[in-house]
Amino acid sequence: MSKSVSSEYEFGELIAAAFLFFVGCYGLTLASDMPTESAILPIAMLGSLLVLSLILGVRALIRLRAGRKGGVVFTHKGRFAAALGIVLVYVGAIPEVGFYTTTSVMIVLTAVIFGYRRPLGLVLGVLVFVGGLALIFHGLLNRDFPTEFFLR
Amino acid sequence: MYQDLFHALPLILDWQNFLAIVLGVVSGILVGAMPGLSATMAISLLIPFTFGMSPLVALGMMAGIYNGAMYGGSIPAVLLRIPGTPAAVATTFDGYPMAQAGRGGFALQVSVVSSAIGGIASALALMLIAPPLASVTLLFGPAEIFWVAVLGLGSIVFLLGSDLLKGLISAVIGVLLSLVGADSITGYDRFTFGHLQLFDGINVIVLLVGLYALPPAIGLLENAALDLGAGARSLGRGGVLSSIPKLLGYWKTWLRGSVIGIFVGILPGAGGSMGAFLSYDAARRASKNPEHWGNGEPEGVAASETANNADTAAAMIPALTLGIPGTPVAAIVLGGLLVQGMQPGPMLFHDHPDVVFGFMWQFLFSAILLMVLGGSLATNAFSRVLRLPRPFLGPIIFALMVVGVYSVNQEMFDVYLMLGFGVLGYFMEKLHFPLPPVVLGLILGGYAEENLRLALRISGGHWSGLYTHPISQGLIFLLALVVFGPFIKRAITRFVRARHADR
Repeated sequence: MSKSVSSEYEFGELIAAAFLFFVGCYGLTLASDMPTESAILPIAMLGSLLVLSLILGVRALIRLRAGRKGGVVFTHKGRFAAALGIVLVYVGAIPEVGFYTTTSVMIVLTAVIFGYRRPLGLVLGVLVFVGGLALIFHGLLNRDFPTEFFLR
Repeated sequence: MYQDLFHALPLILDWQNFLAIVLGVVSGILVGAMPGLSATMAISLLIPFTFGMSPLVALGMMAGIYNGAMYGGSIPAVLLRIPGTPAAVATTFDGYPMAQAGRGGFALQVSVVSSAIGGIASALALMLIAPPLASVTLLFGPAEIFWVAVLGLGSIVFLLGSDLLKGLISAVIGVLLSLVGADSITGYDRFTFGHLQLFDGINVIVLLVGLYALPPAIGLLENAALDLGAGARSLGRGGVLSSIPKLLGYWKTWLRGSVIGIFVGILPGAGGSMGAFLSYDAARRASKNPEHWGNGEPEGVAASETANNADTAAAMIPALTLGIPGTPVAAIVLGGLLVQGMQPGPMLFHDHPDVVFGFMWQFLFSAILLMVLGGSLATNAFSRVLRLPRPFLGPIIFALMVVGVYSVNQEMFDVYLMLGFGVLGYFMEKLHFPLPPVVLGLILGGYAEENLRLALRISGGHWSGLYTHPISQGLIFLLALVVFGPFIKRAITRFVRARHADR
């Protein structure tokens, strides 16, 4: 996909402007309930956000109408979705399964999904990394992470 | 004023502190050598490992990482034309052509010596400038501190990016994030949505790890098939010290690059990449053979690397004296100081002179150590970091992010928040919104608001209290220069060009 034949970037700016405008409006409704002294800066900042997002949106629209093609935002949509999905599932699973177990499984799965095919290197790497973390944080710094499900 | 500096020296020579600097430099070079992984990310991931350490050990590691990463960025810049850190972009211009001509080893020797010299100059500037500046800043009241905070934020928006609109939006987002939590004066909880974890506000480490670590980690996986190791070949085994006599001819470039780097470092928001570009450009203009530049001129590598390392300790000058970080790395170091129970700002020099002056020595020693640890043998080893499999490195960074953020308060809530910031940072990067204004907005927004309100209370609600003091007026003048300077410069350039065209 050539970078110069897509207006995805301008559409991205337009979506960002709409999102920021929504955040600004919603924030203003919250700030309006605050005591005056606490509300001054929030209202000033949210008002600025509204104005700036409007300018951003109008600029993106003008550029789109002028046929400007700023290129693509995502070069690898599938890989991005997979990476984000993995990190979301990983973070969601930590309190349920435990930190060290989830981390070990996540590293192995991610490496395999993204094309790493050396089982021995992978197992050794996970053992060294997760073992090192346990040694430093559990052994030396006395900092605990969410407990493993089989130890509860 | 300077006696505390000398009193701190024996502390640094303690083996634990010294080992921390060595470990910091080595890990900084390793991280800097990985394209996409920055010094900011390395230090933000390191902070949790320093919780149990003494302040000087923790800060020594940070100083080592910062200097090491700045040099490490030049390794892939020279070998692969991929800058390991943003500050190494200008190093690619001549470093890569040198590597293609079989002089990659020499290019890295130029780079390591120049980086060390820039780092040494920067540390000396920190030692000389920070103590007197800290004495001056003791005179600052809330109104002056308010203006300094606004100046810091204004500088990063107006000096940093090419797109002013996006810079402003980023800064507004940062200031809005700083407002989350209980109002320090009225006690009203703002934008907490009932979450007790947000009552104390958003921790800067949570924001930094999210913004600076998640996007590159996802980037590693998006481009997991990229084989960077193929370009890393043997670089020769000549010692760095033996090559120094050949490099002495670059002394003017080192001097110029150091001055530029230090100046840019002190300016909030400017950063190492701007220093490297300015230094490269100035050295090329001064060169007798400007036509060689871009085709493998070692002086180009020297110019860029001197300046990007001269920015490191200098960036700590406003951070330590005023509590205003000029760069994201300085912001993280301030976060590290807070973790250690120290409040950055003028009182830091009064309350913890051993730590603050020891930190200055650590910057100096870490720069000197670059020569030893970044030598040819080591560089051969460090270039192997490019062969680390990306599908393995990405998830390791995910895990380190969780470790780093969870360790702050032992709360999964912080991890969820960090993830949200990471996604925000990813999209901001893709749409070219600058990230540093968000971080500085978070740090300076609350600081500015608190001091503004204090100043108004002191002046009985009169806004004139903000601009009657001469220091405030000086700061307002500086702010006006920062805000309007680029527009005036552009208008003058346009006018001069138009006059030339008429002729």
